[in-house]
Amino acid sequence: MSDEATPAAGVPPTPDRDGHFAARIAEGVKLYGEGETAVRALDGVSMTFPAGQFTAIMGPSGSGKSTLMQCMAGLDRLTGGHTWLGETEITALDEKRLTQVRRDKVGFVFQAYNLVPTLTVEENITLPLDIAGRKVDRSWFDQVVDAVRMRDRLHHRPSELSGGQQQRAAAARALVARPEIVFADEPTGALDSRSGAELLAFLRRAVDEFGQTVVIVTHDPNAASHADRVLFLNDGHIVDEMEAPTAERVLDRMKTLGAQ
Amino acid sequence: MTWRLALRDLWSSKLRLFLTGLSVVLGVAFVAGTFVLTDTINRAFDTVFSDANANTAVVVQSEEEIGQTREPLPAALLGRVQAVPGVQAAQGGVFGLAGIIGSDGKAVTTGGAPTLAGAWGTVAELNPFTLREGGPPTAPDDVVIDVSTAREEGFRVGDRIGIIPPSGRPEQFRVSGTAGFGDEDNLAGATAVLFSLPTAQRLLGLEGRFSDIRVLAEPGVSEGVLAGRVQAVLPAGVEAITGQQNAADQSEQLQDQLSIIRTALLVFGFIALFVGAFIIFNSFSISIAQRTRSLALLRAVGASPGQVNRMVLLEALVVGVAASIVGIGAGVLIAIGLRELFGAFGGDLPQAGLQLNARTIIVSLALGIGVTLLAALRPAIRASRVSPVAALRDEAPQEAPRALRRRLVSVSVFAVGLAALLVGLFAEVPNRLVIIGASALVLFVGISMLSTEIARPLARIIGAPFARLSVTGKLGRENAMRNPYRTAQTASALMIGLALVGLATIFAASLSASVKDTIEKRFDVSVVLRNEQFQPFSPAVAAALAREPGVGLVSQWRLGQFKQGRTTRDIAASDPAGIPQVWDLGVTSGAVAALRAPDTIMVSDDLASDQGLRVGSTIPARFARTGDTTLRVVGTYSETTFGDVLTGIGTYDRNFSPPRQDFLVFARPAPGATEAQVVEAGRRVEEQFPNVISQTKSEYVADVERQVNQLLNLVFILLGFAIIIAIFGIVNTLALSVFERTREIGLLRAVGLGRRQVRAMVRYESIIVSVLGGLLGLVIGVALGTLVVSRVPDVPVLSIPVGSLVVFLLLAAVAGVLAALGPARRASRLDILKAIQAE
Repeated sequence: MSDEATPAAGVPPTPDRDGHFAARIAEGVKLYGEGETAVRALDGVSMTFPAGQFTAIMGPSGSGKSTLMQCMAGLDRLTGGHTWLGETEITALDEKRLTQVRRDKVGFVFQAYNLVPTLTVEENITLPLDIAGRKVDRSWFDQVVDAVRMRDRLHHRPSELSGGQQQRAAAARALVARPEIVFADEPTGALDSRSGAELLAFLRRAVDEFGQTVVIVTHDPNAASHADRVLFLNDGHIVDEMEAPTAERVLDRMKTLGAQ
Repeated sequence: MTWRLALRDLWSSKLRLFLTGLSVVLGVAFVAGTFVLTDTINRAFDTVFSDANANTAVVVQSEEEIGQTREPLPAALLGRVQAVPGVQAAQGGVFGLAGIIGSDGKAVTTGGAPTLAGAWGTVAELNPFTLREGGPPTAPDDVVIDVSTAREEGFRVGDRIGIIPPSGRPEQFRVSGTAGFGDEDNLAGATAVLFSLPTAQRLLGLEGRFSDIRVLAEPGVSEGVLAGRVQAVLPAGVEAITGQQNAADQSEQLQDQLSIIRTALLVFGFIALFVGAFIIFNSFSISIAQRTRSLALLRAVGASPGQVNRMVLLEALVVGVAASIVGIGAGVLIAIGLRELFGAFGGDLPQAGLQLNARTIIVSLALGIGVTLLAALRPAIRASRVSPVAALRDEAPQEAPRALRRRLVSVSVFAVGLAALLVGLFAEVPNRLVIIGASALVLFVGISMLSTEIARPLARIIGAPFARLSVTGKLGRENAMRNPYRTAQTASALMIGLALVGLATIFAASLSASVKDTIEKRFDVSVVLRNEQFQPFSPAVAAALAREPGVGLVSQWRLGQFKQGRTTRDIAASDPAGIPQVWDLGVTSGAVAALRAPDTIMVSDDLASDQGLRVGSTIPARFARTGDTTLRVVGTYSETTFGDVLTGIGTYDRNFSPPRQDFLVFARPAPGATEAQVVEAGRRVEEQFPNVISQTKSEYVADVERQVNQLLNLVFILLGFAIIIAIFGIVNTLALSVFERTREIGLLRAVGLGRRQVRAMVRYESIIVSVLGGLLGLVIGVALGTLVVSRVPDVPVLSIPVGSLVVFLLLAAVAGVLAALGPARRASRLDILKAIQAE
């Protein structure tokens, strides 16, 4: 695919099976720096994340994939364009509302340092609910905790967990508030392959069994192969899209991206 | 290369540098300011006295000085001195104390400075006063007053004003002129009234006598030679000293009083520095922990432990030097400010250039740099022990080495401090105060070390309500608990401040309660007459009171001093017949009535047991008037309101020269009269004598309480320095902790913690730390206060004002809120992306 293949401005986003969007971005532009030295991290990106889908965003380093995720998750602001989380346009929200949106509509899993070291695993998992002052739905909590197999670790501190356990706890935290969408930024980046596979299997289950929307940013073709759909990003553009990916096909596509 | 790294590390953490340095700056500023202020005042008085007495070649006075008073000279001596060859002129001086009735009809107050009175010197060269307006006093009812008083009270030449002499009743005088002391408008806030010689002698009870004789030399005759010649014609017990010596003596007397203030201020300065040392220690410890990896890298690429150690100490040296220099500058500013403050309260100090002596600079630098280096020593050693492997480890190491050894050391330090303090308080040792001070320092260090053991559980308890309240409360509490060493060290600074606040509060409350208890239980009187500043007043007051209807017994009390060997002792006197009626002195042997016999005393049980005295014993005593005498003990007593030595008024009057003044007068109703009548009588006497106030027992107690509280407030202000430093310490630690937790805060923000909640989290942590320090401090303060009160016999009643202590704890919490302002702001503004991408 060539650079001209960027989806045109104003193209209506494709609806999902039920016609719902978990998240959407239109004409997203993100500039870093100013004037001559400005870097266009996102260069007019438009796309949708249908509800109940597992999407992977891939691309070489500096392609803008993390920036895309951060802007869509309300961690960062677009320089131009619009983003929505569910029905809410978050582009112009003030800091306070944005924080609320993150708290209520988004779950996060980062590459590392996902847990607050002073809190127990259980407290970490319920943290978003506690921050919001919402009640914990115990049966849902139990379901999630069992799904990530953390039941016997609930009263441990993060420092007593392995890396894989920490990431699974983070995933549980991301799900427990029933967010519209879970964003995971290189969730397996710091894990060995077995732990990584476990985590991805859990995220897959979250989509299949709980109907959760999950978006992961990764450069690992194996990780991407767990997704329903893979988006390829390069130089701030979406350059390709792949349904029902396999690790081999993704790897091939990445090779050609890298060659460009 | 060590230098360059040290400086670069410092520069890269400017905030830490600033906050750490600030704690040293404040302490040094306090010390330097004290020196500059007192040196400046001393210098000013030196100049004033030597200028005012520039022409006085020789001063003739009684040799013996007891309690700053000298026996007057017979007037006949003047002729003899005048006849000495080389004497151009000689002038007999008369001085004492007399108040002025102000334009509002009340005595002019001086805030403790003396109300000088004397004879106007007719030999201009020998007169320290210089006329500013009008003429000298010539008529018997003429008076010259100091320019300051004239200005403040609006008195002009020709006005009639009332003067309160030491004996007799107030009299009216005509202002014939105004005068300054040398070039100054007054002498450090003192008022001055100057009369013609005969009037002064009459008013001051010095008829036929002089306080001193001042001599003007003929040209070419040196002071020393003339003093020798004058001495030759003087009787035994009278000395001739040079004018220079006299000026130095006068100045020294004032400086002695000033040196008490200096010592007191320096003590508070040292406390501030001591608290600052905790901040420095903490700041360096945290910084070393945070830099473990870069230090390890240094070691890995070949730096020796010694080099790492030196690098940290160099950092400390730079901080110490810079902060000390800034501190000295700030000290000069403080001195200027305080001098202006004195001026604003009417205590005009003579102007002189600010005195920044070499000693001030050396002491301040030595203290500032010394404290900084000493406090950084342990962190530096710890830094040098970082192993090169630590560079490869992922986790930041904890600041918790060898728990058992640490515990043993803490307990030992604490035990040594406590033992030394008990020895200082209860054993008979020389330099008691020094021992108590030093052991208190050790004790505080020990408690601070021990407090690391209880910081975590205490923080858990203190934070429990917050943790229940909200998730931010819980996070704040966990943060306060996560590093008990850091929390304890940070809280320690505040702990010391509040321990001293608690100690002072309990001592003051106990003092007030003791006075109240004594007055209520031991004194059976309707009114107390006294001077507002406890200065003595005319016996005419008692006489006037006795004439009032309804007044029965009037009991006059006088104070004096005598020397027993080299010790100057206070002696109180009253009519033996009245003493047991107004005062239950707790006679333990002998009888008050025996004081009617000449040269008899009663002594307190304390003094009796110290010196092995009992009824029938004698002690040698030297009085200014009567010289060496022997006093016979006729009884002992336990209640020490009036000190350790009590005598009859007859013995007193025999041994002290006029003017004999009272300092307290008690009165009781006549048979058939009511208390109210006596109170009324007191009011009427008050009106006749503007320098005297009449109070009931409860008014008197309230007044004492007010004065004790004023003093307490002053102590609070001085301790405020140490507390401000402690608050900076909390700010410092919080700022460093926030920096350290950048990623964690970013994570919390990402999962939905709002800015306001981040601020609340930091605030909760700060409150927990400060309340922890406050709580520990107050507990220690109560313990120390109880110990001290139990040791001081004059304070028999222990009073622990729980209400005040609770208020202090709340204030500590407020301090925590204030300390959190900056760091919380910083934390809430962290860029989430940067925070979660850090490293």
